[in-house]
Amino acid sequence: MGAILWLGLWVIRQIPGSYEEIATWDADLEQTADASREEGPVPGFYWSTGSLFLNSGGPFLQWNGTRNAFHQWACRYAAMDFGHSLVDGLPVKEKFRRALPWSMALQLPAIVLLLLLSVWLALEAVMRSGSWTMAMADRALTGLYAVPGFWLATLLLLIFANPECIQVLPTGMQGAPSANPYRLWWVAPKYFLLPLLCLVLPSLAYLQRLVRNGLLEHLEKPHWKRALSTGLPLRKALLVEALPAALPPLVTWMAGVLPALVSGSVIIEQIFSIPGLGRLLYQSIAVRDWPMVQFLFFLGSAFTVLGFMVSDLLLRWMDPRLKQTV
Amino acid sequence: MDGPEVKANGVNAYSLLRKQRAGLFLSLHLLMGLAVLAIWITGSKPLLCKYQGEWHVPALHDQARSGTRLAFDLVATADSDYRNLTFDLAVWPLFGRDPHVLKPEASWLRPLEKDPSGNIYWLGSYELGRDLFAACIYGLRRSALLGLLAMGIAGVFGGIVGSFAAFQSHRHGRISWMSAAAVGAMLWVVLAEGLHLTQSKNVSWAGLARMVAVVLSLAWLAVKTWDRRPKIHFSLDRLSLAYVEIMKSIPGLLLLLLLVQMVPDAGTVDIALMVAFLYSPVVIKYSRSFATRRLPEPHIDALQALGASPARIYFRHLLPRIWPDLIPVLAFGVAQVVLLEASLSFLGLGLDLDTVSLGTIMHAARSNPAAWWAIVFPGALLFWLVYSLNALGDWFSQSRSLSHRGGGLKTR
Repeated sequence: MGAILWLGLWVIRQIPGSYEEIATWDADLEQTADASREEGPVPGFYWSTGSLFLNSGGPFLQWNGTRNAFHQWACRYAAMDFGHSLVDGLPVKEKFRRALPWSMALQLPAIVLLLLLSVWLALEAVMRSGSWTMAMADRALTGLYAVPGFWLATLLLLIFANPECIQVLPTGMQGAPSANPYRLWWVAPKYFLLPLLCLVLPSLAYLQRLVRNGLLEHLEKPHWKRALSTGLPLRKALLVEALPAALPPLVTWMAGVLPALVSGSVIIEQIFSIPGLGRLLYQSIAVRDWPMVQFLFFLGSAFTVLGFMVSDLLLRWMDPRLKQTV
Repeated sequence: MDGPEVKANGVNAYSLLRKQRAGLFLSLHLLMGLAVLAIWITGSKPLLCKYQGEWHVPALHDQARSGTRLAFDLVATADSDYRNLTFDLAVWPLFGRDPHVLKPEASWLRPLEKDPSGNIYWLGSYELGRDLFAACIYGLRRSALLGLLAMGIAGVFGGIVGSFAAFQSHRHGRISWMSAAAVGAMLWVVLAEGLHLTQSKNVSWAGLARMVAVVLSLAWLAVKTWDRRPKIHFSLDRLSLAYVEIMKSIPGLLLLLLLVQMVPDAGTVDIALMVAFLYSPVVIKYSRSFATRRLPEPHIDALQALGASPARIYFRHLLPRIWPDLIPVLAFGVAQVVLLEASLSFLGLGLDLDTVSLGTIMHAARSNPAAWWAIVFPGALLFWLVYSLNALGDWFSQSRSLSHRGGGLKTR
C-alpha cells in the first residue's frame, strides 16, 4: 500500500511544473516561502540517491530526515487533512462530498442491475441451450462486449437526445429538476437511463459468461445428478444447487468494481455531464489540480486494496476448501 | 468452433483458422491489410519518387517532425503541394486524400458531399476539412500499431519474467547468495540509474557505457554463480508475485491518466510503453501459470536426467512453449489496449490532438454534435477491430481448451 501511494506521489511530482504549482500554493497559504527559498525544494522521500555513473550533481545517498514531501503528505493525511483544491480553494473533502452522491447514484444501480441481469441471462442460457433465441442472445452479448463504451454513449445520445432524430431523453444533467441525485431517481429517472445503459451493456457479456461457465462446469459433476434425482424442477435445482458454485468469480469481479464506487466512471460521466467523481477527476487533471488528483488516487487505490481483502474473506467464507490450502 | 480436441499449434493454427472461421480470418486480414497498406491506399505524398536526381520515400516521412524535412519538403510548404512538383518519377497512393491536409473551407461536409472546388468526400469530412475516409484508415493504422506495439512489449517482458519466475521456483527457488546479490544490484542499477537517465539533462556517453558494462557484468556474475554452494532462499516467483500484487492494486486508468501527463507531447511509442507497463502484470500472471502447468510434464524431468543445463531447458524447451499459450491473452490485450487508447484520446487526454487516431477523430466530433458521420464511421471501425480481436482470442483459447477472458485494465 505504501509503495502504491509513493508511486502516486512520485508520478504527480514528475509531471512538469506540478512541483512549482503545489509549492507556490502552499507558500501563499502558510507563508513558508522563506523557508523553502533558503533550503531549496523539498525532496520527495526520506532519502534521495545520486547516480553512480551519470553526473547527477548530488552525493550517492543522502538522508533527508522528515523534511520530505512524502512524510509531510502522510502526516497530513493521517490527520485527515486532505488539503485544498488549487482551483477554487475549497477543501478537497468538500468537493469529494459534493460529487460522491452522483457517482453512487449511478454506480450502485449499475452494479446491482449487472449482477441480476447476468445471473438471469446465464440461467436462461443454460436452460435453453441450443435454442436459436439463446444463440442470438449470445451473439448479441459478444458483440456488445466489443462495443466501446464511449461510442455507445455518443450513439445513444445521437439517437435519443437529438433534435434532428428522436428527442425523448435529456443529454445531460443540465436542467435536471433536482440537485440531489437520489431525489432525481425518484422524480425523473429518465436522466439516469442512458448512463445506466452505457455502464451495464458492455460489461454484461463478460459477467454472463463467468456465471454460465461456472454453471456448465457444475453440470458435469456427480452431485448435479443427485440434485436432479431428488425431483427438483430444473430452474430451482440450478438456483439452489449450481448457482452457489458459480458465484466466486462474481465476487472477484465485485472486488474489481468496488473502487468504481468512489472513483466513478470518467468516460460516461464526462459524456453525460454528470457532476460525479469521474468528471471531477477528469477536470482536476485537465486543470492540474494536484491535491484533488492525489486524494482521488489515494482513495481509488485504498478501495482497490480493500476490495481485494473483502473478496478474499468472502471467498474463504463461501468456499471452505480455500482455508485448507493457505 | 470445434471442441477442445482441436490442437491449434504453431503454423497449423493459421490454416485451422481459415478452415473453421473463414469470416473471422477474412476480417482480420482485411483489417491488417488496411492498417499496413494505409499509405498505399490514400495519401497526399508519393510513396517513392525521384526528385532532382535523388530518390526519396516521402510517404514514410512524419509530418510532425519538421526538423528532418527533405529537400523537396522545403519546396512543398503545405502537404497538398506535392501534386504541383515535377518529379522525374513518382509512385502515388491509390487515392489522393490525406487526413493531415487541412482545408478549413471544407469542414464538416456530410458523406458524399462536395466541397466548393467539386471534390467529393465519401465519408464526409470533419474538423478543419480533414477527409474522414482517409482519417479512418490512418486511425486504424495508428490503433493497430499502438496495440501491437504495447502488447508486443508487454508480451515479451511478461512472458519471459513470468515463465522464468515459475521455472526458478520449480527448481526449489534457491540460488547462491552471490547470485542473489548480483540480481539485486542489477535491479537497483537498472531502476535507479534508469530514473536518473530520464531526468538528467547532460548524459555522457562514457557514463552510459559504464552503466551498461556494470549491468552486463552483474548479469554475467549472476548466471555464473547461480549454482554455487552457499545457497539462500531467493524466490524470483515471490518477487514477481509481489510486483503483480502491487500493480493490481493500482487503479489502472487513473495511473495511466497521470502517466500521460508526465510526458508533454505523448506520442504513439510513449503511450504504448505506458500501457505495456500497466499491462505487464497481467501477462506475467498468465505466463507464470502456463509455465507452472507445463513444468511438471515428464519431458522436463527427462531432460534434467539427461544432464541438460537449466538454461537449455528454459530457453529451448520451456519458453518456446509459452508463446502459443500466450496468444489469446495477447489478442484480448491488444483489443483492450486499442479500446483504452481510443477512450483516452476521445477524452482528449491521450494522443496529441493533431495525431490522427480513431479516438482523436471522435474527440473532434464532440465539438459538433450534429456530425453523426464522424462518430459512426470511426466507432464502427473500432468496434470491428475489437470484435475481431476478441473473436480471435476466443477461438484460440477454445481450440487450446484454455479459458481466460478479460482480466485486464478496466476501461470503465
